[in-house]
Amino acid sequence: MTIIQFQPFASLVEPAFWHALTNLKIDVLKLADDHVPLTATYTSGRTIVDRETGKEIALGCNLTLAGDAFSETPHIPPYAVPAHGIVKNYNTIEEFKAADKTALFNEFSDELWKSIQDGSTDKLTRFLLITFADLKKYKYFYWFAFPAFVAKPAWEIDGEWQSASQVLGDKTLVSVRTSIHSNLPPFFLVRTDGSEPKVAPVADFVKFFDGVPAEHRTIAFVDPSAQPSNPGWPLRNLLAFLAHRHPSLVADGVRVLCWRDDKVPHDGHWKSRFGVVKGVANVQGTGEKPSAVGWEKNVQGKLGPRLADLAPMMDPVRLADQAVDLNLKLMRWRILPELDLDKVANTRCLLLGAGTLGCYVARTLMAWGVRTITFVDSARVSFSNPVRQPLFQFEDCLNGGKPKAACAAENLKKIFPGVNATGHSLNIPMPGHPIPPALVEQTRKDVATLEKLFDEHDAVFLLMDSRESRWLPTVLGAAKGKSLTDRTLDQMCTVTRPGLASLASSTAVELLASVLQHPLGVNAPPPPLPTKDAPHADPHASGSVLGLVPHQLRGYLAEFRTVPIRGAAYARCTGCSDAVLAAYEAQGFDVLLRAFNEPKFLETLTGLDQLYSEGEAALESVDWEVEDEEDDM
Amino acid sequence: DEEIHLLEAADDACTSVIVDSITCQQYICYSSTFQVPAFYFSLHGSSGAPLSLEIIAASPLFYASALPDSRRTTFALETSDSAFAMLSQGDHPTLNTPCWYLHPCHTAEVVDEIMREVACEEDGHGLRWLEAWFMMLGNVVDLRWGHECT
Repeated sequence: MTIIQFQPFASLVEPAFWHALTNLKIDVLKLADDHVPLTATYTSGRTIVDRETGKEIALGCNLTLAGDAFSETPHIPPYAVPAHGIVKNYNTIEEFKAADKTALFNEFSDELWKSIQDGSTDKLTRFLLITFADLKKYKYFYWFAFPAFVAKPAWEIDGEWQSASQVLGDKTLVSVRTSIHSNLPPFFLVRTDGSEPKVAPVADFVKFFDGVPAEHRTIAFVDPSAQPSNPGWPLRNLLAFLAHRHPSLVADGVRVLCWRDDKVPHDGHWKSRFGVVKGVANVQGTGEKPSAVGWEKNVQGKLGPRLADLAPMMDPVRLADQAVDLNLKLMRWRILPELDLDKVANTRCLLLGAGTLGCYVARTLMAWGVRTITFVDSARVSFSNPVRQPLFQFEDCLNGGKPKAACAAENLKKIFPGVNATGHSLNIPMPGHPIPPALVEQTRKDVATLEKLFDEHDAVFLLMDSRESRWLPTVLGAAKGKSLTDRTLDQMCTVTRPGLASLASSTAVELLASVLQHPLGVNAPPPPLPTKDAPHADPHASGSVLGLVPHQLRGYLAEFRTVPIRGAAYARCTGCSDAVLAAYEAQGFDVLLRAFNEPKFLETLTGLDQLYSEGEAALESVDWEVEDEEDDM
Repeated sequence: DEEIHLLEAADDACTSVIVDSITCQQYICYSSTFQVPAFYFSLHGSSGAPLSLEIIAASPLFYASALPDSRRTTFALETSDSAFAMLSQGDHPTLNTPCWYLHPCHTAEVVDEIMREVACEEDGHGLRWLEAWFMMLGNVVDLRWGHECT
């Protein structure tokens, strides 16, 4: 004979239960840690056929806690039976950990033993639950206990567990099912000594089995286990009950029907099991409470509490995060699975200028999932700003106006809390705009900050409102090999057509996205020049899944046209030519200061002064001039 | 982490078989906006914690072939009739519990296409439409699970 190994209950908590516990704590319990009654349910054990192997797999021996567990009239699903228990909620994790679990458990099992002594089977499946709800982090620590009395010596199976239809026959099982299915009892008795099998509650034991020969007395229970040789947990306490109240039954060997069939099987394959359980009645019958076990092991199989982390479902910040992420995933799945979204999201973007362009660029970057966005702007929000600069509101203009960079960052976070947005209020010094001696130190610091910002970011957007302010970032960008996107609305930017800013900004961001998807990144080649036979470049041939990777774009709003243009780096460019870069790398701030203070310095450095004297037309073709009829992008 | 001192004696009469499972609730709701049925579902682990999109996509609920796999690169060129592309999050229309659902915006289109291939009498039209809807859904969702688990 082998010792019976019972299949323990496995807790299954539905998300709605945690919501209900939270509400209970907030509205009712507050800080009280009273025992609160609740109802769980379990069904008979279920199996699933594995599609690949064709094998039958037993599902868990589940005790389910639903959202209406605290209700006085919880919904019991079809083919399920209720189990009653209590929950004790602790207010701090320390109290939860320090709680005297043994004392609690013993108190609980004492109650259970008393009910057995009183002859009731109502409490045989009672359970205990202790919880700690961290409502700030939406984490729930919990630990179930399903007390079961330990038999000494342990219960043993006489022979083997068999299919119930083999022992009792199909007809009996059909009849049993008919008797119990409308109001499923967790435990019941079956006598098979008449023409028809009969079923009765355990409480009617004496009368029901009076005069019935041993081989026709069967005890049954709804068995949540689906393992063929392991009956479920409820049988333990039922056996303890029988051993205590009806020791004669135990002495003969208990005929046990593990009921596992909700419906009459169409293929004749009943799931219910049958076995004869042997044990020693006398020891159990002394009235002394046996020891009990039943704390649920955690997912690692150790005796310890479990954790339900509901933050992804309840924390609004996480919800926003997930929604944004889902949006991007959907875009990728629907259009372009090869899109490397992480590449874009992880590109740290530095936005020089938090004005019209800055605001639109920031929002579009955020739509792409970019997580790090930093603004640099020395101005304060003014009354004309909010209508054109979508990150600012009227309140931001009051009292002199909030500093734009920091304000833009704050407002960006209001839109999406998960964004890592910061703002720096600093002036970008410009060549030909001398620095007063008193401000040199501050300027040195500002330049150092700017250099550091360049190091800390992967892409830089030049979104300032003047051309001269472009110089320093261009030098820094070239020196540090950064991905530099140069989009400025020259000079009188506030007087251009409103739609231009968002068009320009969106285009800039999409250009960055396309660059990032190209394996060569910043070094991606521009589209080929248009020819008579191929006036438009083929986006599929660019190497980037997002299409062309032009180096420059020029837009003509009046014509609703955007054109990729191509311009080679100019050897005497004041921003990125070798002479300038070499000087910067060698002398740092000192060379920059000379450029700020001395109007002709750069030209001399690069040799441009000579070129000026050779002809202005050549200069025209390299420098981005604003033309009157077109709106430059 | 803290040590859990032995709360109870080792128990020989207990199996150590641990079966972990995912619970899936499935619903079919009527979308009044699009006037078609929509498939809603929720998936959670035994602790009640919601599952991430990655786990949901990898679960047996969906046919692997219906899903875009980030390791596969041919999907983009396949037909766009996969209803999965419309996976969205939202609250169940009547229960108000958080759910995932297959967005119904292309349902009418897809089912109508199936219906065009099917000849049927006026009487049976509604039922045939529903059958076609299940066919479409069944291409993406493994509907056999719900059937077996009773």
